[in-house]
Amino acid sequence: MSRTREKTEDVLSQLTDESGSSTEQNDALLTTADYVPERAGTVTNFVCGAVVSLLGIGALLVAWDLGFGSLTQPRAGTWPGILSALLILLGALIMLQAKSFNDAERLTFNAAAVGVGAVSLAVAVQLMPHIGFEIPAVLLTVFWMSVLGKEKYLLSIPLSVAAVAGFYLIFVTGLNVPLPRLF
Amino acid sequence: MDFAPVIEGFEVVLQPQNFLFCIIGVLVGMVIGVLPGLGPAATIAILLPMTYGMEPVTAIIMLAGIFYGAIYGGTVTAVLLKLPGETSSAITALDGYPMGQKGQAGKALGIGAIASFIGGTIAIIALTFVAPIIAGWALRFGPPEYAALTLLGILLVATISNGTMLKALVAAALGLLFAVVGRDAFTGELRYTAGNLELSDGLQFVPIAMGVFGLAEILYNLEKRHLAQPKPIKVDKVLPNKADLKQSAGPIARGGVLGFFLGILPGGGATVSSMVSYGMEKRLSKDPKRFGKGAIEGVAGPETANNAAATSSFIPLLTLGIPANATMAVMFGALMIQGIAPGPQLVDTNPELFWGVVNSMYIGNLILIILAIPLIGLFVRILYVRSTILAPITLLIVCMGAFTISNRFFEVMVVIVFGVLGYLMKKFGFDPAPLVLAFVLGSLLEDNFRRSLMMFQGDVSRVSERPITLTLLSVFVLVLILPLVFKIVAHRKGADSLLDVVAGETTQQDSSQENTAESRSHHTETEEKDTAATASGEPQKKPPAKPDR
Repeated sequence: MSRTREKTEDVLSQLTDESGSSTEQNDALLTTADYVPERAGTVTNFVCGAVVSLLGIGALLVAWDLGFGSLTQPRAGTWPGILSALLILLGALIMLQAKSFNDAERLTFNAAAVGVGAVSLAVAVQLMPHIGFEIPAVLLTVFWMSVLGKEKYLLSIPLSVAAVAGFYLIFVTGLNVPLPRLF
Repeated sequence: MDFAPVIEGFEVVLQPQNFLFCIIGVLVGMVIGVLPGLGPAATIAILLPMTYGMEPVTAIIMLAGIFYGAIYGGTVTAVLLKLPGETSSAITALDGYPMGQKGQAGKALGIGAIASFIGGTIAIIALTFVAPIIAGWALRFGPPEYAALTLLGILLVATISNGTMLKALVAAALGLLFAVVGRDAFTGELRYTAGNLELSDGLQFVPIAMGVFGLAEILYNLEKRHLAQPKPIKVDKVLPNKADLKQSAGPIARGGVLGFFLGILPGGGATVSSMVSYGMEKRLSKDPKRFGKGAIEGVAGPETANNAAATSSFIPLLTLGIPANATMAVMFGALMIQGIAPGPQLVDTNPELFWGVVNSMYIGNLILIILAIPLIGLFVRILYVRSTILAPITLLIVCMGAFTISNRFFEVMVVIVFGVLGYLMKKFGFDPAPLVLAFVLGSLLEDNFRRSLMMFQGDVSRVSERPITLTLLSVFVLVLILPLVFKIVAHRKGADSLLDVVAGETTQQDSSQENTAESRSHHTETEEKDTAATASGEPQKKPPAKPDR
């Protein structure tokens, strides 16, 4: 009993003790609670407005194809046409007032991890129908924990295997979800 | 009012199986809700797939449990980490966190739980009586009234959202456009599907909500992975005593009433009500200087108000079928999955379901108060686990959950696409909440807009024949114009409203951030010398703002 408790304490201390993580080495002084992202400037806000307007133009072209109809005889393109026009207008207003916004955040090098994280997730999901969900899910969690999160592999591998086994029990065995699987 | 269906509703809800699922719902809601950054909308969206395949009443009661658990989860992080799960809990952090620093975290969380319970209960009781009356009145609504009401609801959400109104309106317009994807209900034509057959039935609500709220938040936090995680404040076992309860009684009573009325308004007044309650308590206090330094009334009032508002925002959803805020939009989606279409007919056509929803709130709220206080230690333990470990596991929950929506990976890909979109929106100052809300209301708005046009035979001036529509549209125009007027007036005068009291408090806290951080690191240093984890003893710094111009 006491050995089990010791083991549990050991696992918990591994999960909670930060000494093993490189987070300490990087920015130990600053915590997520105090983090204030750098603000983006006029260019970013102008680009945001331009993207919104371009989206509106694209949507308007599709709406035109569908047919704008009329007030008496609205067609499939009437409503999307109105929304597209609204998007173009709002995008133009954002471009015009780009200088006055201070709510956009600057894209820094840290954002690259977000791209890598999203791509790794998409790749894992694409692999799942072919080789089952188990291996991609374990690889994905290990990648997120150790490569993106800088956790030790000694911790991330057993944790990932345990988590995926838990999900297997809940979703496949318990809820009979037809997840493609290897085992 | 006929009370027989209300009592029957209780009989259903109180069955042991339903009761058990409510307990699970509260627990899971709190566990996910305490993850920093995940507010109630994100938590409910992530956990929605858990309710698939359940009986409607069981699913609803579990959802009610998740709802209350998630809201309280936000309070826990606000008090212990100064990281509110949602904006309405931000006010709780103003005095909750200083209370924790003074060694009264248990007291703050205890009064938070009691206040939440009372606020929720006041609102549910009022909802029980008010909802059927509003539903009866709304039965007279036709397509023009619905179109105007939906439009007003979306605009109000955009108006009070985080960030600028212009960007919130873009998010709302995008949400409406995403709702167009799929087969046109009137002509049967495929719209915006890009030839993809899987899109012919349109985009589903749940993967969008899971992506924009859940995955986007996980991705956003990934950017901060190089930063140390704040250590939660140590929770003592001191619970509120008689004197504390006496001191909090007034704020709780005022907060409950205030929250109920502000919560009914479209836009869901949880944040506004907690701010107004804080401002009011500060003004009524004999010693307003205590506020911001750990005044128990600063926790009790706003917590009651935001919980009462969160509950009363069910009224527009259940009686008009119009969600008042992002959390209600997710609840709307959840009810639709169970085959329950919220709206004025629900109370008459499906009284057992209507009262099942209402009564499950009583139970969810009750279970929250029973579980919250004894389990505080467990939640603190979760807060110690690093996000680099929790995030990938939450990611798997999102993936598995998204797959269970239709047992295909297409929905998981939709979650990823909307997760990236949600991340970019958050990054560039576009609040994603109006997008989700507008998406939910999109087809309702388009259908009623087109029906109205056909009804009026294209003559828009015939709106004047419909007084309710005309009133709603006038309010719509006012909401568009008033912020501009207020801006000009405030610029000229410098207003002193209840909200300004809070704003002043926030600014004051911000300016003293350096000192707080210094004292906190000192506190950490002295308290956790033996762990030698993050206590550096150095003041923390904020990075300077550098525009990329």
